[in-house]
Amino acid sequence: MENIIKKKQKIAENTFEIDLRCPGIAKNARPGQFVMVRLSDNGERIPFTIVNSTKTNITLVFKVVGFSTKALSNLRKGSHIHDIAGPLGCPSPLEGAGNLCFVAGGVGIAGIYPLLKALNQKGNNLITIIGAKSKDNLFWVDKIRKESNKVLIATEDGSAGRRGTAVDVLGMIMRRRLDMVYANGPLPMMKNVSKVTWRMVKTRVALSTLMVDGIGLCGSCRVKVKEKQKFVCLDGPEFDAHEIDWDEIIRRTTMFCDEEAHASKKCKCGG
Amino acid sequence: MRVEEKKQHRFRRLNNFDEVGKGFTEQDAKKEAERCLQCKNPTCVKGCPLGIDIPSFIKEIKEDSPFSAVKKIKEQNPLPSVCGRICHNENLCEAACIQGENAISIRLLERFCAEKEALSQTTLKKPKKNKKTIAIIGSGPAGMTVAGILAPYGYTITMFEAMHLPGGVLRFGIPEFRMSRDVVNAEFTYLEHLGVKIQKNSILGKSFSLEEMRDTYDAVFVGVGASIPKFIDIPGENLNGVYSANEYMIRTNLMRGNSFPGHHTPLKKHKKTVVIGGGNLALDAARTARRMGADVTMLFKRSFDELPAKRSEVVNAQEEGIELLMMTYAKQILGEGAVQGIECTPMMLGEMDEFGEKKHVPIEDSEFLIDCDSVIISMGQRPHRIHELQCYSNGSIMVDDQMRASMKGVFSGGDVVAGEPSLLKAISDGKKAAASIHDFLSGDMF
Repeated sequence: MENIIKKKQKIAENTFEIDLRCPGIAKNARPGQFVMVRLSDNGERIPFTIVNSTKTNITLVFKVVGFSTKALSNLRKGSHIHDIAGPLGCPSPLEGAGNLCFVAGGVGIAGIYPLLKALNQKGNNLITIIGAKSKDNLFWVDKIRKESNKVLIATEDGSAGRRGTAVDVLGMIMRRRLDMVYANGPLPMMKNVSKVTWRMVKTRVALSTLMVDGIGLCGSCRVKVKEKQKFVCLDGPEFDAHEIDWDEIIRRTTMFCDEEAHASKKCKCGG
Repeated sequence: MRVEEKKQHRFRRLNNFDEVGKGFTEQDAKKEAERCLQCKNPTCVKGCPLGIDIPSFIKEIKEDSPFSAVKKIKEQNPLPSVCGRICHNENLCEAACIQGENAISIRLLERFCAEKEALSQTTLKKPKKNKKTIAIIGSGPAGMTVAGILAPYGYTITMFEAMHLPGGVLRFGIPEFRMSRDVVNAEFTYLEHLGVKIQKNSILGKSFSLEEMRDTYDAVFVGVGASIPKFIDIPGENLNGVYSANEYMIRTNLMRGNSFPGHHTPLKKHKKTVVIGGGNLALDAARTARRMGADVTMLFKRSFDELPAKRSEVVNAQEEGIELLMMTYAKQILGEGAVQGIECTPMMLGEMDEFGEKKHVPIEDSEFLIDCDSVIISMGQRPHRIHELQCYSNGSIMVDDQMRASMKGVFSGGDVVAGEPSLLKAISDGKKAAASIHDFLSGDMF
């Protein structure tokens, strides 16, 4: 049977990891791609990054932010998922060679994993910076350590690693020679990363935006990149951070906040 | 005099998404069929791009045998229940009818027959299978036509649909108040009964490649449509509250955001919506927004007579209180963060160009503002480019007169070939492709 939850586990505060058996998608999945998931006949289509894949299974990591993610977190091992479509989006071109720096926060900690793995295999020197609110929000640190040459951790309350944000740490190591920076996390964090590396290091980010269908029909994920209209689902989700109109994309993700809040009585906007 | 179709009352329809036109009753249909002159040299048939034998099927209705009428229609058109609702009859068969203003309501008679058939639930024989396999990529009207024609020959057919429900544009593009969802569902029940397999959530170029398909199946039909929305590159296009017509229709129609939060895809309730464009999709989006409770104004660059939307639906839209602002174009969308208004420029007919046509030119310094909290842009769509096939610069697939694409065993048709939306083109392409696939496969057989 396809679309079955093989494993589910809470890995941090409000954050879950699930393994899904879907050989058709797992076989084609490349780093940077995502799937659209729909949980019931009444469900919405929600995008999730494929954070790992084996021959038959894919792994998704998500934070409970609204109605549908809450419903997904309540499913048990063995449950059937109504619809999964993918792999969608362009695979990451896995650019860059030499000293590469990854900056991750939130579910982006898992989002960078497939890229990290692929670029590690190519023999690059990888520095990974993980940022979180506190140590309760950290996960997958050992897994990431295995694929990086150096891991730096920053928490806002200082409960693990340095006190501060991942972007602060990035600022500190900017003096070193970096060939490429990758960022994945909440939009405001990625915006700050792009400010820090502006005109110094080429930076690529994986965007998470509103999506309805995920296959290019609706254009709700549109974003101005280099003044041109791009669709995150078709042209992305990975873009050059310095070409993105950050304020616009952050604003657009808040479009349905009122409605979402009404649906789940709780809303966390802006990534 | 034409028999008028009964319609839902114009005030009541704003509170629901049920079909506006109710079609013909038995008496209506008979009365209308009686009016047909049964011309020896029927002009209506020439007006129909599918070449339906119109006088014959009308004669069958007259003689009280709607089932033989359906059979007659289905010789040329496998989707009468769809065409009976959304075909551009006013410009085609009915424009060609010699009775002029009192032309026979051919579309409604077609719908009547299709509805009769749907009610009857005639038991169908399952076709005897042969060994040949066909993959149909895209389950819109073109793919449905190919499947409907070829399945009875016994081919093993699998349809691949990118979304979670089959039907393509009929599912997400055509609103329920024009064509009930049951019509599309019934077509797929029929196809599944014929043994057609439908594989959802399967995307060409992502879930599988075209080469994989060609290697696994004996023939492949690509009918993936043209559905990437075009934007118009005016300032303010990315403000919150600006939608492509596609997005608006997918949210309401496919994801049923109109019953949010019961269905989980959010849809905003706007007070004032401006729709840019004059095609069918623009009109459908406008009428949907109206049903969601907004005041709606439609902006169109040219004159009323040049509106490409279906005439009878324009009348319906006007009845529903949609304001049509002709000879006006959108200059920019204004607002801080979210939409607050739209700046428009009226147009006039300018000087004659080299083709003897008057060009529409903006009237300078006459811009005006419309206050609104949402804008829907409906300026056409373009196809996804399929890199494995030879395409034109706009992304539409190159085919020969037998709908063969540049890869052997691969056929194509519909909007992805035409580059623009047309139901009848999709059906007639589907017919041609089906014939050509049948030739190709039976040629292999003997």
